[in-house]
Amino acid sequence: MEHSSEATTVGAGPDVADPSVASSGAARSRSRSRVATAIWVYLAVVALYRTSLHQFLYAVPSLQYWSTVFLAIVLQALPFLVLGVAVSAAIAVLVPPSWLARAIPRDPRLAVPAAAVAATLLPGCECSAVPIAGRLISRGVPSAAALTFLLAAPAINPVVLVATAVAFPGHPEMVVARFVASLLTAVTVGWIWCAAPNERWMRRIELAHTDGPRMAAYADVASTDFLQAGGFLVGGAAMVATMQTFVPPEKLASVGGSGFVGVLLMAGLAVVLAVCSEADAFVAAGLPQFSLTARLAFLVVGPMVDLKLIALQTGTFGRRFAVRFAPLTFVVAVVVSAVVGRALL
Amino acid sequence: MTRTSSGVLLALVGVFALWAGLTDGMLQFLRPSMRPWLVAAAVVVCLLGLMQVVTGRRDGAPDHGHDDQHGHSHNLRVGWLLVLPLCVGLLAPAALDAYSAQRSVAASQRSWDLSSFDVEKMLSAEAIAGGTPKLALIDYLGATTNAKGRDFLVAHQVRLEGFVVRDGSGNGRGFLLTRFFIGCCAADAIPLQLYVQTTQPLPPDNEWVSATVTLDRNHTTVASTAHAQATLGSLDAIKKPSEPYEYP
Repeated sequence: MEHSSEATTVGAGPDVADPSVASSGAARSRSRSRVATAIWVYLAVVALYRTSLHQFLYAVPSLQYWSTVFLAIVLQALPFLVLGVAVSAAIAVLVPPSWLARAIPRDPRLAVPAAAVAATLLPGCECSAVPIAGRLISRGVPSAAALTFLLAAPAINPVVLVATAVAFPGHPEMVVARFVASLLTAVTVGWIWCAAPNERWMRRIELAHTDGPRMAAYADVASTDFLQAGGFLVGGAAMVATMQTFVPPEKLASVGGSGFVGVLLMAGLAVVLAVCSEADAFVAAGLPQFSLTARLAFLVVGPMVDLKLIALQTGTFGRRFAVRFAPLTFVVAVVVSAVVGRALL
Repeated sequence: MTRTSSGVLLALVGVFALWAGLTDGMLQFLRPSMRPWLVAAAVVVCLLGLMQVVTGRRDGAPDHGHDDQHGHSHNLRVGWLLVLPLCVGLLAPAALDAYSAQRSVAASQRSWDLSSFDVEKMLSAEAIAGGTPKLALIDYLGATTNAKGRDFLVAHQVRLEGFVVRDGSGNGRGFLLTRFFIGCCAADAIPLQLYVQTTQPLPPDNEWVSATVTLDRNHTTVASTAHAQATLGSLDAIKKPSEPYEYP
């Protein structure tokens, strides 16, 4: 299993192995329970004074817009996140580690395309793919293969391809281009990750303790995963809502752009808009001032790199991983989209 | 985070999602087909939370020592962020409105390739014979993209529902009949807008109306970024529909 010896930078607090922890344990525990109390009190105050706070929210249209977009993203992602966490916990508790290692090609270079093919069959979503990929790695799947799965699952599955066909009724080649470009991007990034000294950038994903009754172990793993991924999802949703509120990206898009500038602009828009992969085709179809190739870049980048996903990946794999993986994926996706767009559109 | 507080937090998140899923709350944010998924996810999160509370109580609440070894507390402080949607949810924000429509670029449906859309085929013969058939705004705008649909809408009055956005540009007298189209959730909403001209006094922003309109032939072939334009027949204020958006 791949893990670095360094403590993760995510979250806070010294590593558990640090001997000072034991002595300061009681103090930390006290301060933590104070934080918890403060948060519960805060929640109670909001609940008590909701009417007047509600009026305040309505008086400021941009705040209200922010709230709607923020809650929409959180509620939209919630079922997919729960699904991902449920599958991930099932892998942790029910699938023996040796089984996966045997089922997947030992050579990462072969495992990468195998993972991409497996991903096309699963109607996943970007939010469920992150915890599943994290768990696969902790169960001995080569990281490059798990990351290929992470990129491919939300981008190329039957649900997303049908939505693309519905949104672009006159352009069946768009569906083909999206499939080809997403698959190529996922496999290319996987192979690059094979060649890079990748393991030391990834946070060690801890093996869940599966002692005791299975049901309790399952609930424990699932709620731990959910709290962590959910927290980062909320952070990502807040960032996306803030971007949409204060830097209206659609206004940016109205500028339009031709050639490679348009491709870059649309790819950047995909990162800040963080539209779910099932809906992004409709958004792209409504931006006709951009070329088909530029809109293809939007559809390829969107399910692989966006603010919400970067937050989720930071939570699961650590910051050192996210600052390398996201830009790498972005560059590969843009280049592949430009090439595939030129060839097919 | 102790096991008990993480359990309580999970249960609260679950209850909030369950409330949204079982009421019209979710329809302000999501398309209706997400409802069963949201309810199922909410039930799972509630159950997880309850199990954590029960085991937390049984093991003796502050179980840092035990949990730290297995990464339960480690990195879980970020989980407190889940309080944020609870707070925002308590304040019950509403669906997207005129402010949201004005700040986004008017995505005219003409830009979508709907030239094969046949509005006559979609409507039953009785609906047309009986007077004013009701159309979704997306179908109406889709029909304006082809000659056959335009001819039909110029010849027939139809009924549309949406909310009012007062037109700032002052292009004659009228308002933008608006509705949002969402693929998944309100974060990907695209405003659908039809310019409705009238000599009647204009309704206020955000008022939901049911309007009968006739397409204005002279304004259907302008540049693709402009709004299609129609003339108002009758106008009635209505209650905001429980499904405020249109869906694919």
